[in-house]
Amino acid sequence: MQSVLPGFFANLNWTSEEASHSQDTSGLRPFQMIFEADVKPRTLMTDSLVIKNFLRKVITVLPKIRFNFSVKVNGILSMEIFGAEKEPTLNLSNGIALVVNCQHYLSTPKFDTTELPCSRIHPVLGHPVMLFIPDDVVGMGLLGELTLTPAVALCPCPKVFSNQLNRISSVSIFLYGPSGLPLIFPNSEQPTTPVFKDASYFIDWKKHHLCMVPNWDLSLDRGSVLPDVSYQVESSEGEDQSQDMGPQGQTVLLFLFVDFHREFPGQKMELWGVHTLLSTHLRAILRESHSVVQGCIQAAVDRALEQHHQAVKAHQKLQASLSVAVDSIMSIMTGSTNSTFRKTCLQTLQAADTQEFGTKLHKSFHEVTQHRFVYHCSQAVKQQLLPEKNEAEQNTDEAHENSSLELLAGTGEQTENKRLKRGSQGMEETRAFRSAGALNPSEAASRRAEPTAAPLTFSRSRTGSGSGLEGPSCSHKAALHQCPGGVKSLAPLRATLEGTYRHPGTSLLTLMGFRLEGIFPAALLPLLLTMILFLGPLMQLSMDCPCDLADGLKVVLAPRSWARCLTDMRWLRNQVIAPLTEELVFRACMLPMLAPCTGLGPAVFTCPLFFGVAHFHHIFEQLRFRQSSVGSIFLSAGHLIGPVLCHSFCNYMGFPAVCAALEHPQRRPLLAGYALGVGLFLLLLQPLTDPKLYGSLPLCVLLERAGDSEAPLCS
Amino acid sequence: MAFTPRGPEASFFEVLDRHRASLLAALRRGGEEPAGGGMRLASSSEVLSSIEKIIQDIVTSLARNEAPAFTIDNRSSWENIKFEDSVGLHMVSHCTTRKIKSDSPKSVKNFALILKIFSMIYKLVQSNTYATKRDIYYTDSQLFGNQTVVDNIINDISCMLKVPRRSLHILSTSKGLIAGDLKYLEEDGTKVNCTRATAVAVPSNIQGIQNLITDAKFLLIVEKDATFQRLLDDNFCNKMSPCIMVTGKGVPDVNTRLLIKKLWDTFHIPVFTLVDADPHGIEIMCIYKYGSMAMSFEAHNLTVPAIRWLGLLPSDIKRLNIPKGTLIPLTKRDQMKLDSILKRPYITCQPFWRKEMAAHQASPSLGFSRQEHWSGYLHHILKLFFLNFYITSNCYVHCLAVNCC
Repeated sequence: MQSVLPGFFANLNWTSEEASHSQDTSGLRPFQMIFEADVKPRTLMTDSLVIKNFLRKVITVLPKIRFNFSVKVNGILSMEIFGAEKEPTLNLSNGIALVVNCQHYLSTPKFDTTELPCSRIHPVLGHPVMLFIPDDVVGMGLLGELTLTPAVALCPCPKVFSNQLNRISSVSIFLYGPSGLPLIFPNSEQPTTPVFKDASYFIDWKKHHLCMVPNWDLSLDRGSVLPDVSYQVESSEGEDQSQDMGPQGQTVLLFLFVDFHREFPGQKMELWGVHTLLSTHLRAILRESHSVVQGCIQAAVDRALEQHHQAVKAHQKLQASLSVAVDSIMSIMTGSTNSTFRKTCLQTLQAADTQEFGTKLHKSFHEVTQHRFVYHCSQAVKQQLLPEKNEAEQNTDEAHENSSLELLAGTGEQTENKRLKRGSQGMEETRAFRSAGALNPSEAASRRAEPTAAPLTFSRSRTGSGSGLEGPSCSHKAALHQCPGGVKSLAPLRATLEGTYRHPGTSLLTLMGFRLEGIFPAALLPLLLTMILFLGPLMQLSMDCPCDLADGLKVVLAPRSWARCLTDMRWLRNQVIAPLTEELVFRACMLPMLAPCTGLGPAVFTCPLFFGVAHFHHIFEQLRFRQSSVGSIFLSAGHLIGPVLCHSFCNYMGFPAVCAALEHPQRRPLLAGYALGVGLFLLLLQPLTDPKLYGSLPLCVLLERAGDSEAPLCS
Repeated sequence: MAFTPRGPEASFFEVLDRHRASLLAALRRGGEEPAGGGMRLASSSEVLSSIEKIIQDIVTSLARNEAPAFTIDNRSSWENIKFEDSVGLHMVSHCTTRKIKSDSPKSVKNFALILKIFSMIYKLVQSNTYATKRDIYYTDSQLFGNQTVVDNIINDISCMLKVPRRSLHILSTSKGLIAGDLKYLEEDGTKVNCTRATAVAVPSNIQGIQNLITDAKFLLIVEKDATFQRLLDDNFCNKMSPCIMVTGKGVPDVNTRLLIKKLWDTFHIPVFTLVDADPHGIEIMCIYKYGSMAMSFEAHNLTVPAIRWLGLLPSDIKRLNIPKGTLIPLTKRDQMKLDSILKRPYITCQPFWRKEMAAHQASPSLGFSRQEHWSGYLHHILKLFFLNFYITSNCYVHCLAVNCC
């Protein structure tokens, strides 16, 4: 027993012993050891501390054992209970479970554990290696093969340090023998074996830019497990900073479990003996299998530190991302012109001004994210930790550490879903096909009906690649309805005209405006006048037309484009048929009737009313205003060709797009063009519609007969 | 080649006219454009207020001590995509979403980047200026890492706010080219005439194009720039008949697709695609016709289901006796692509394609041919395609009748 507890000076006398002292995990039976020590008070303190430390060490790996430690000094009983039954643990192997509450390993009370975001350590288990037993070690070979399993963890969890850069400040090594009993070197004067004197004997710290030096002054009097070996980081610059860094950084906890490869061959009773034997020879054993041990410890440490670096990186990423996010929100907030939005934002965070808003935003963002951030902190009370198989697997495993299981489940579900969907799709398809088959007769009927519509669509598809402004179906209807209407209305009119105004001097056709005398000025001048009125829209058109003048002329002169126009129903309707028939009805037939009845002035203004009523169906299309001028042109020229051309031109131009002109990039010249057009029109209206230009007026005859004395027109 | 370069024959026009008539008939039968589908251009104030709302939500959740997160429609899963013949691939209204959380190490960066781009869009919209995706990337290239990150986020935002990219005041430089019988006026009043010998770049603001004028009989989409240039050098547009040629230089960008959609909507002239007879060519044709998965949320503005696959059909390789020397064998990746295309939803309603691809699969050693290789007589071959199309168009007519194609 002495050998197990170095630094324990008192002589022990076993007084009583109940039950066997098998300390395996199933040992739930109460077990009492009473030692009576005759002691000097000086050593008692140390002794009890040594015992306490031993007990602490035991319970960190055997949490199910509960120790009642009581010391009776001068009749005063002080009692302490050691046990970690309810602590979260991590199952390693052979029934050994590591307590992951970092309270056990933290020596400094600096961290108030209740406020730690994560109060656990997250060990990495290395895979076990076989130890070589030197030949000169007597008796060990008989016991079986020894293995060493390292477990590495960072304490406290990196989450604690999320406000600062994480650093490693010290390394603590804990040695455990078979069945999780602490392995303590017998040499009490020198607690650490020469093997561990050199910090880089097993681990190459330089690889991690760390410079470790052994730490000798370990006080027993601390609330946590005392490591068997401890190193401290000496800053590589050799500055005195190392002193300040000490307690603040993280500690690397390295647990080394020495165990028998197979189940311990001997009796449980021999455990103590074996333990003592092992303690004695461990140094030699470790030295013998130096390279193997180094390899496996180094791998485990590397992985733990890799995790650490990832945590650091993740933390930096979070910091950077959060500041970007906060900056963006601030930029939107401050840049916004929407005052209600800004006010609501300020109110939500209860900030007085934008600056306070910014700081509060940053703070709450940090608080909110920190709670759940930081790499993989599992909250399960019990966990099974399995050693990694090899390096290659390790990488992938780490990458999916969190979610591999969920992922697997997820994809499984997805594929199943897909399969289901595909199945149902297939069903739908077949159904669709069946219904298509059922529909066939009606379809055939519709196809039979198609030919009647075909010629129309055919001709249009050949030619109708002009402006697609109007809906195709609507234009057809309009064209069909308008043409026969115009023709039909001619017959009764002719009758009325002949009946009322039959006059020997003027034929009906002349009266209606069909005559040769002065046809050229009659064709050109009114058109010119209308074009002047439309000066603005014309300018707009030329500006907006993507083709230049040469192209335009080419198009105008090409017989193909004319041929296309002539076969285009819409073009024919808009530019030829409609102007001709409408002018025939409203000007040629109506005006000669109206003029004698109402006089010239009212006739000019009432005639467009009729026209307007007839075009009521266009009301949704566009308003028309140009008709009165057309009427006066007919009156003054006495030719139908003038109004027809003007009408055709107006139909082509449509109502001037004033709104578009107002938003046109070259607004000024355009609007000037509009104004100039209207001005010139008003100026030139009188001279250009001078009846003298167009030969004698047949209408005057009518007017004379009616006794009208509208001299200016007929003089 | 049996064809003499004398200009198009009457039968050729007949084919085109019949095809156009059938398209128009189908259009009329299907009624006008599917109602309520497309994303309309949102006004700037709408965009601003929706961004403000998002920011407000974030601030509110922070005030409640919850980690804010963006909910984004999942654009990369076929489950969220509905195939409709008249539209193509478009997103279902209630699709699965993914969350971009601010408190998970994996997505926090993305979260921050989305916010950053939101703030940039906000500024752009406010000041009524425009920026390209590249501009945005270069404002902080270190932060963004690479261009695809920015592109993805912009698509996500567009999908989240349900507005087209144009409304976010983000432009993408177009890589497409147009040539042929087309004249139009750009938004700023520039007159553009594509009839010249060199191709014109697709404008970046398609919505702003006005006064389109064309005499074209059809629109030909060419997959590759090299083929396009070859056709241009051959004076294809004049030899064939008035037509418009467009190339998206591989997988088309949004502007090129918008332009084709606009041309189709304005003129309703037949649209054909000339792609390589390989899985990639087929996929590109499908993108023009039915759209892609990633942009499915904007499908109503982008897809032209009336597009027809003119060539090069896999079966053409045999039919046209294309010399073996110009063929490139299918690689493993091509095979995989082919298999994945065969699983797409639109293939089911295209028995003709299925057949073609089956032919493709059956003779993997034959592979596909690069069109550039047949240099001089490309337009003859094209004419052959049109006639070929005429022959096979019986199938199309049938498909139209059952409202399938």
